[in-house]
Amino acid sequence: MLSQQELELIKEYIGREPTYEEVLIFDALWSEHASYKSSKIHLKKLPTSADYVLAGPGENAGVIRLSDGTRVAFKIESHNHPSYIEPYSGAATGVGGIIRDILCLGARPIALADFICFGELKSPKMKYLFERVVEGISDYGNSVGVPVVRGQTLFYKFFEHNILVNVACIGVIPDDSEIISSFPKRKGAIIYVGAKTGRDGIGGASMASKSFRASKGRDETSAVQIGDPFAEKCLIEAVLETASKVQLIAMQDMGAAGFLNSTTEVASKGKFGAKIDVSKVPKRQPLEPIEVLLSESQERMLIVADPQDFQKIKQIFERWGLECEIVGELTDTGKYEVFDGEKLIFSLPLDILIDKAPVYDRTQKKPDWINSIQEIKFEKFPFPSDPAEVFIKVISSPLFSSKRFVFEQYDWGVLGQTCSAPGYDSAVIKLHSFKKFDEYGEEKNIALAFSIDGNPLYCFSDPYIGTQLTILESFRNLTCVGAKPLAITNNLNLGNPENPEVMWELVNVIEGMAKVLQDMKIPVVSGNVSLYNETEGVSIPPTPVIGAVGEIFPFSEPIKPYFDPGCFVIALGEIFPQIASSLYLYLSFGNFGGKLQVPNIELEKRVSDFIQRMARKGIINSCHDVSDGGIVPAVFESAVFGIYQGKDVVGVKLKKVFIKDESRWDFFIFSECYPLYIISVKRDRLEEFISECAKSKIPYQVIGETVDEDIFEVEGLFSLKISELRNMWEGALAKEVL
Amino acid sequence: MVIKVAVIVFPGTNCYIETKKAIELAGLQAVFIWGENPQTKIKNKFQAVVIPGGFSYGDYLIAGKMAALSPVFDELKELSEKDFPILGICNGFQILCESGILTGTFLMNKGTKFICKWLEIKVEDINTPFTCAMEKGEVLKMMIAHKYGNFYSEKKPNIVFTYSVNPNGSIYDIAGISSPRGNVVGLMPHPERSIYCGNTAGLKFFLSLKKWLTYS
Repeated sequence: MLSQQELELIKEYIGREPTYEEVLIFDALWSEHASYKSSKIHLKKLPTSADYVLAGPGENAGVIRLSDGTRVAFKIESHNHPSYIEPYSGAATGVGGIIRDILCLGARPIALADFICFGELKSPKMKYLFERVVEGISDYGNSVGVPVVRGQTLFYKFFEHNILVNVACIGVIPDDSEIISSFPKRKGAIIYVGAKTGRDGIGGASMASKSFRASKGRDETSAVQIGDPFAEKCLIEAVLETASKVQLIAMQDMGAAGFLNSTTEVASKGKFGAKIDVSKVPKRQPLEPIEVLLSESQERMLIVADPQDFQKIKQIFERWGLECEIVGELTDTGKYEVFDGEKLIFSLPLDILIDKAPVYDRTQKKPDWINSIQEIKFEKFPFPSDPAEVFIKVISSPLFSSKRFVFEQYDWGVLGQTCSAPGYDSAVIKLHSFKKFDEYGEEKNIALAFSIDGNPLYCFSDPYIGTQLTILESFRNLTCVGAKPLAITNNLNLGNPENPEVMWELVNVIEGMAKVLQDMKIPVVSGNVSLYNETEGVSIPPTPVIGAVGEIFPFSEPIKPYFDPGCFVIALGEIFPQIASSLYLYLSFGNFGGKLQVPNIELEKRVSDFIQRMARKGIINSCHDVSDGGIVPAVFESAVFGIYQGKDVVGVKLKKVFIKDESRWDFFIFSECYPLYIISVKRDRLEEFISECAKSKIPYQVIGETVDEDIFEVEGLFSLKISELRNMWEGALAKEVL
Repeated sequence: MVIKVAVIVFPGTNCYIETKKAIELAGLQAVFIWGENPQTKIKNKFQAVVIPGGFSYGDYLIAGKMAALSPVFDELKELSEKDFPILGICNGFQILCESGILTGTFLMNKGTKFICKWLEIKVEDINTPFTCAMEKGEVLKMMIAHKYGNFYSEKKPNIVFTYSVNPNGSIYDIAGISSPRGNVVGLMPHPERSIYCGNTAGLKFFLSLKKWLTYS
């Protein structure tokens, strides 16, 4: 909603009272969602360039060049607010929207990844939201034929009234095509393509730019869009076919604030004006001009092309059963002129709609509770009496348990490129080259790795360090499959920026991110900010979600995350008690806090490089990193992860050597210390491995071995059956819901 | 002689690229054929047809129904009666059933959810163009990805594949069937996805086809 101050500013700009329609237009374009007014000045602190970055922030998605020349586009977006109001359509259209962002650049979408975060699975409502969000992503993503290759699913009490649904998409630009920009370099016809416009999603951008109140919700359902994955699938093919046959001037998705936002944005980016005629827009039902401008109906895009190419374009879209109409043109006037047939509806200077939109340096205040949260003394927490019991509690909690229930609903194998199960550290996608829109060329000698991560507990207790650790966790996930990190996309999910404490969190998230990315020399190439995740004055924990892209080149096969029998289990990296904001702390004591140690970037890089090198030499049998849950739960995952690929579980016997203080063994077995990887090495390669560690000065400790027995044992603490643990871990989530 | 296989593509077909790739890996030639084109002629130009998976026409109405009504089926029905090899994968299987070339129908999976996972299927019949290079009783590791894979038929069809552990509730644990003559095969698992990262089970379908066409 526009503030009084913003209304005054509009009056000053146009020299009169704005009409009702004009107020709605400013409300949409100046919304947080469309204008980034609270985050803009801070986002400038992020590094965005590298010599392999071909398109960065400002475009619909970022594009990087891989070592073999393949151009990869990727971006993440949120659909938090709509998914809380109507989980199925909200999540489904979130998938549709991010696919079109990738498609805009002329890229074929080849993979999706989701980050979904809910309240604890206790109330029927939360179970419903969870099931329906997953179903929405499943039905849309599966039908549209883009695999969901990786995801993260969390359940924390802080998300009881604001859930998070973030979806990332990755695409490949066909080898013989140009990247299509959203910045038109010359004038042309504005062409509407895709599905018809209806009355759904009106006011969506404004809805997503304000907090929920208890009474609200139901009456905002019409601000949620309806998805049609079949139309989207046809749109993908039609757009790619068009891009391969016609030289397009620019392309833009119709996302938030629909037709209004896409037409103003494309004109503004080219420093042109635009003249549009809403009567030409294909409609499902009679609509008022303002409804046409604000509708967020799905599966629509905007193309700018030379008028003489129109018939050729129309033929392609008609063959795919889609609409295609010229709805306006770019002009030299610098004005945004909207007609309904002959009748001028309004005319406004474009710069006041976009460039002169207000930008705020909002007040920040460090929350008073931050210091006390960070000073929690863990020694005072009661000592768990039964190690087996507490271990089972951790591995069978929905936060840690297998996410099979979720990812088996996603078609993660379509397109025939996915080399890993979505439950692993990173997705590995073996690329084949696309030529034109429907041909593929040779199998490529390169694989893409993708990870998606967020950690609300870390970022709540320390947004600056927590964000750094979230990014490092992404990079460790890439390392686990043997990939080299290249670039990230980010989605910053936070509360109400008008609350100075939330603003303080936002700035710390961005600055923490900037710091670690500069140290690692990794750019951010695209992203999204979702604010106002707040209900009744309570904001969510700051939750930056990171989508990290890496490459494995040359590629034969990825390092797997699961053990084989007859191997040594090695902890590679630093072992220290890291219980601050850990999953163990949350699950056992319902608490979070403590001081997160500043990460050792130099060591992070050294260990990561070492693992990539060892992977190429074939010395490492498996690799998995220690993250939420801690050391022994990570070892447990490596013992059971093979089941996703149809393998058996593997028995493990761990020595107590890594428990440096036996009086607080819980601080070690559940330590989320970093960087730490759980590696397995075949017996006959151990010597070689140890000498490589010594040569590269990599800290390591042999902590146990894998055995051909039904056992999972930690010396002196517990000895359980791996087959029984597997069932508890694998079935936990479905048990909560069904 | 180069063996040419027509890969039929409808609006909403998703798995055509990897299907073409799998066919070509077996040393056959694959050509995309647009299912909506009324002029298409398969006979004399192609030696086999593969209908890949996906969500043809969005699978709105009944999975496969709209595609089964498309022009290409006039000729496919005719060919199916002349020992012409036709393979339907996943949505392709559903389409073949809707067209009447194969007999049966599909209900929602028993668990009501979409399922995508690796599993094992057993080869029950090797006297078809797509299984002749396999062994009877052989177990193949395959990926399934469907929501409506719960196959049902009043009359017991000729069973070509069964699931080792039934994921969807299909009758007789059916994963794939053939027409009475054996030349038309439909299955829910995806052979075209089982051709990479160390699993080559899927290749056997197209090596079978090659063998069948070369020696018959």
